[in-house]
Amino acid sequence: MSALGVLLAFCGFAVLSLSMEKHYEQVFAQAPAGQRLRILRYCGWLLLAVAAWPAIQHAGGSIGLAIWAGELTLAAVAVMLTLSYIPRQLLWVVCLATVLLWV
Amino acid sequence: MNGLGFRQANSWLHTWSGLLLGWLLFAVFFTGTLSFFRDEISYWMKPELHGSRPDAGTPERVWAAMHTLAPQAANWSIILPDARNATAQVQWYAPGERPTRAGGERRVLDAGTAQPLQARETRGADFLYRFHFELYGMPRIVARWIVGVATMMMLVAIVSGVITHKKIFTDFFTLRRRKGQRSWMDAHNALAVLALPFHFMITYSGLLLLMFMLMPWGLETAYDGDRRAFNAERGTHGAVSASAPTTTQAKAPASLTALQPLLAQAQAQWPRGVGRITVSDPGTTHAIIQLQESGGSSLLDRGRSGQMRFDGVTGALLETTTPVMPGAATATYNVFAGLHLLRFADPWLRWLAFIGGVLGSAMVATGLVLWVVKRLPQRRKQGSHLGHRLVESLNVASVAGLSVALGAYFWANRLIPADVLGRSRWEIRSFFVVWALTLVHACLRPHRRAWLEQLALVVVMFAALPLYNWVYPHSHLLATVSAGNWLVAGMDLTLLAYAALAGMGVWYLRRPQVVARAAASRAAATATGRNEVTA
Repeated sequence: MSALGVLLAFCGFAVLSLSMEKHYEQVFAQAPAGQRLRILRYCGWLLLAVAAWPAIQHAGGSIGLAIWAGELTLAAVAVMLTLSYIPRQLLWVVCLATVLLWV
Repeated sequence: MNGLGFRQANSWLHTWSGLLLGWLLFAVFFTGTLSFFRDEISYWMKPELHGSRPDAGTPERVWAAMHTLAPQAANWSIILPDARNATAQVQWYAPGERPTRAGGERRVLDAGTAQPLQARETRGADFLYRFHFELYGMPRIVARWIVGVATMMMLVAIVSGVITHKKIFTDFFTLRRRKGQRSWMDAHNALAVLALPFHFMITYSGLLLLMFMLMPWGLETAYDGDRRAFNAERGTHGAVSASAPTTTQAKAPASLTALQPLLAQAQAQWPRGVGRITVSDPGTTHAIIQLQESGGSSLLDRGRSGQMRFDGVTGALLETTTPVMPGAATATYNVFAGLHLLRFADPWLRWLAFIGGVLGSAMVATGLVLWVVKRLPQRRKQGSHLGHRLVESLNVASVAGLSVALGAYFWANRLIPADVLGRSRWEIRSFFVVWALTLVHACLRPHRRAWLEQLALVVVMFAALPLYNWVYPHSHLLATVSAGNWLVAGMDLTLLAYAALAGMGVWYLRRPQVVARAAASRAAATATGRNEVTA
């Protein structure tokens, strides 16, 4: 269940990074169209919020929130490294994380 | 500050508060991070204990051993094995002895056989833990003041750093590689921003923990110097057990009840099981057996746990105590103290905090390097400068040198014979002597060579430690992994991971383009120097 929180947070930050024009272009090599950025932003925040749930479920309110904060940091570092080293593969990494979510 | 904008003023503050205390802060962060695994590291440093394998029969076995070890004692205390220490630690007091934390007789028992184990004399990770807020070899109060001031400056550096950072949100995920100073800046920012909740929490809570000791005046005034009253009100020592059942009969010999039914009762209530057993007046009619739940489930109550008291002869349940919810101020203090000390058991959160500490150490280290990198172009133009050279040397010795010193501490732990007098002191001496030598080395060698050589030494020292464990029967990776002894294996694997990390540093410093660039700049520097001479 600890993996679930990190994977959700990773997807959340990945989607959130795509809501920024700079990273969107980095990943898709084209400018974002229309409302896309806004939708991505809302989805990203939603995923980050949902990522708190497994930890709270597992460890209760106070310790759960502390775990959530730690998992957010870990996930954000992972997204940053992905964007820095293999930006074009970000979507594949997200897909991999999503598959792992269901396993 | 005339002429400096708000942001520039903060930038200046950030640079200089960071530089002056950065070396100390790195040491505090680094040893503090290791302290998250204090029990695990201490256990790893005593290979004599690594064969201890707890099982369901351990409490009964230790219980039986206590009857032969200390039949006449006034008091027994048994700490059962847990995920962080695989042995049972027992302690007892003679009749009439005041039960202090340091007093009494202690033994470490093998969880599988209940035989006493004789471990080598070492301070283990307690030395690192103490060092991270009391340093070493100076009066405690002075050292705590120094660390307290450094912590305050860390808080200043965090706040001024956030103000100075121009694009905290747009650069949130940005790490531009191979861009020299730009890359160092990005790395420093990313390490700071992405783990900001951790940095703020650990610094603020560290300050809070030191506060009552550094600034006791408010407390002394309010409580008229009666610290005990303050602690009682804050509830740190817990209510003293509501006096034992008032038996008026005189003490008479009587045998203790069986332990197993009591444990079964407790385990039915506590999912995390029993952590500690204490017995007062064992072997008499006054005997009381007290079971304590292991770990805690909330940050608010500072990891306090449930307790059950039984009549030692009849086995009747006398009282069950559950932790009470503290008031708001105490709860807030407890949350911060709890997060800093991390006493409650949850391996995942422990690892997350450890990662936070690693990111924090790296943040301080990149900040220190950044100071040097930023001033390199100027130094190339104007020639070397004593202050600049000093910062360079101190950077190498405080960042890479500390790891070398830690490696020396672990090696001393392995190599110093068990019968040497004052053995644990020699371990600590090795740590400081080697650390001092890394500073000498950093002063004598060219800057890049100094980094390279010390990091290479870290690789060799840390990678060889798990290999050396082959001289012990239960400690090497093959034995620990096949037995599922992750307590010891985890430490070895972390040492290997750290060696790999240092190896990446060596690889980076040896990359041809980096070396070429450095050579080019050196040539440019000498050329300009010659020009100045001819002119």
